[in-house]
Amino acid sequence: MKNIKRYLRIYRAILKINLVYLLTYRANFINNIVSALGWGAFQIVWIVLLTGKRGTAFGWTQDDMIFLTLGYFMVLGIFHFIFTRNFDTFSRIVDRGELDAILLKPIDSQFHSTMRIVNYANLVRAIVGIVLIIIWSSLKHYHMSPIDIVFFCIYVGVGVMTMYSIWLIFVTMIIWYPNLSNMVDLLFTINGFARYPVEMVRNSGKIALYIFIPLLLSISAPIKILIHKNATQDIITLTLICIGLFMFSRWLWKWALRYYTSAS
Amino acid sequence: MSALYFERTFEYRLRSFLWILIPMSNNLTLILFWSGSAGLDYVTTYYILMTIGGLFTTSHVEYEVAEVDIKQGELVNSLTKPISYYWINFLGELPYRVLQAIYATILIGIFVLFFHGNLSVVLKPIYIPLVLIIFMLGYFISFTYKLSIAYLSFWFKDLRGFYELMMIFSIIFSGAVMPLEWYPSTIRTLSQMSLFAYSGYYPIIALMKPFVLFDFLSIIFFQCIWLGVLLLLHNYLWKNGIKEFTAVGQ
Repeated sequence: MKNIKRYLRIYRAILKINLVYLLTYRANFINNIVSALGWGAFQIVWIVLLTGKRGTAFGWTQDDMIFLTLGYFMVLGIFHFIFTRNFDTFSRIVDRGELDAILLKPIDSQFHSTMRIVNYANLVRAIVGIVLIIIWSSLKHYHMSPIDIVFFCIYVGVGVMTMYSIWLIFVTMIIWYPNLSNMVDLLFTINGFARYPVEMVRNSGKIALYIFIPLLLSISAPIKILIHKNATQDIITLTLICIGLFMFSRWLWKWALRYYTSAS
Repeated sequence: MSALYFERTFEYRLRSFLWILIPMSNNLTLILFWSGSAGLDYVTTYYILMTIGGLFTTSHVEYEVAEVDIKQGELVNSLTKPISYYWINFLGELPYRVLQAIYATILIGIFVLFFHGNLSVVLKPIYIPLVLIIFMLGYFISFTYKLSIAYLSFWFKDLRGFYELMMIFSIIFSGAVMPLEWYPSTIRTLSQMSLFAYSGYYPIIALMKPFVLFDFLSIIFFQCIWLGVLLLLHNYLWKNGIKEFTAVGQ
């Protein structure tokens, strides 16, 4: 408990430091907001175009699919707000031997490597996402009870943790191959899978594609709670996957650090 | 010089392979999305060719030019060489095309195996030279366009927002979402005339539609017009932009 309080205090300090950085480079912040909202809007245009032609897909109506995309818009906003920038810089940090400085600090190296940079522009994206979800649900008459909303919030958290674990597993590989700076670009693209219903992979009959199910569930499961689709099985699966992936990513991180050779 | 570029490219083969996985995984999701709908063979072929065609026709020269050459002042090295900056960059990109052609060949094999060989290509062998010209012009359009927008860094410090906006336009208008003829009418008309379509979409469609000679020639004609416009823009931006260059930074 004492440890949790200590890390919460450290994270509050990190938020303050990043806020000072934001206020110093305001034009950069606005640029980032334009970029974050632009990509978010693009996801919506993308799904509107696709569903405009296809209509209902995998048991999801066009309205449901747009709801799913808005969920993606919001959850990715939260994920990018807390984590992405850190993963983005990881290749450079390992390649130049800057990880030494992180390892020498008296705090957990995984915490410091993956949570020290905050991207406030994506917080704006997350907030816009929440507003759009509220607007869309009232326009299309999706009724949500307070319990639905509480469960939705909990499973958004579980979804974000699942994504975090997946990204960490991939990014840890950079300790062995520091030149793979485009690993994060690949992860951005793979994240795009989460825009689609989980049934898309389940119905494909291609077992090789089941590796994408954790990502698909991380958005589909919380959205299913809100739109009252049968979510029980998905929620249980997502919970188990999240715990398993988080433990594995933590173990992999610690194991990989043994092979870190500092600069060069 | 070309040999040096080749050496640099082939040194980071795994990195290059990851770049290919990006469009591949994107198009894989789209193939899955259309599974179960009518005309799956057509869609599968379309996205497979989009993945492979994109490797040939899409240039990625902008980051190196804008961030490294212009912002960090590396351009001075190129200015002292007795060859135009346009062709220096063209030579620099060439090894990537060769490496990606090798990967593309492997990908075609995997795709055909994975989707049981249902590729519906209707191109007559007699038209192959014309399709090659269309692909080549498609690449030149992409290359000249990317180089031109990179030159904007002569005037502006941070263009990330603009680049990403242009990337969104290019994804939509080049038919990366779905075939352009499936778009709603207004977007369809706009995108079919855009330079992005002549760079990325028409080379693919030339392989898939039962085109006659006139269709191929008309695509080549409009590609030449776009390329001409882009070259004029490129020359204008280069001539004026280079006056802003201060050798160290902007």
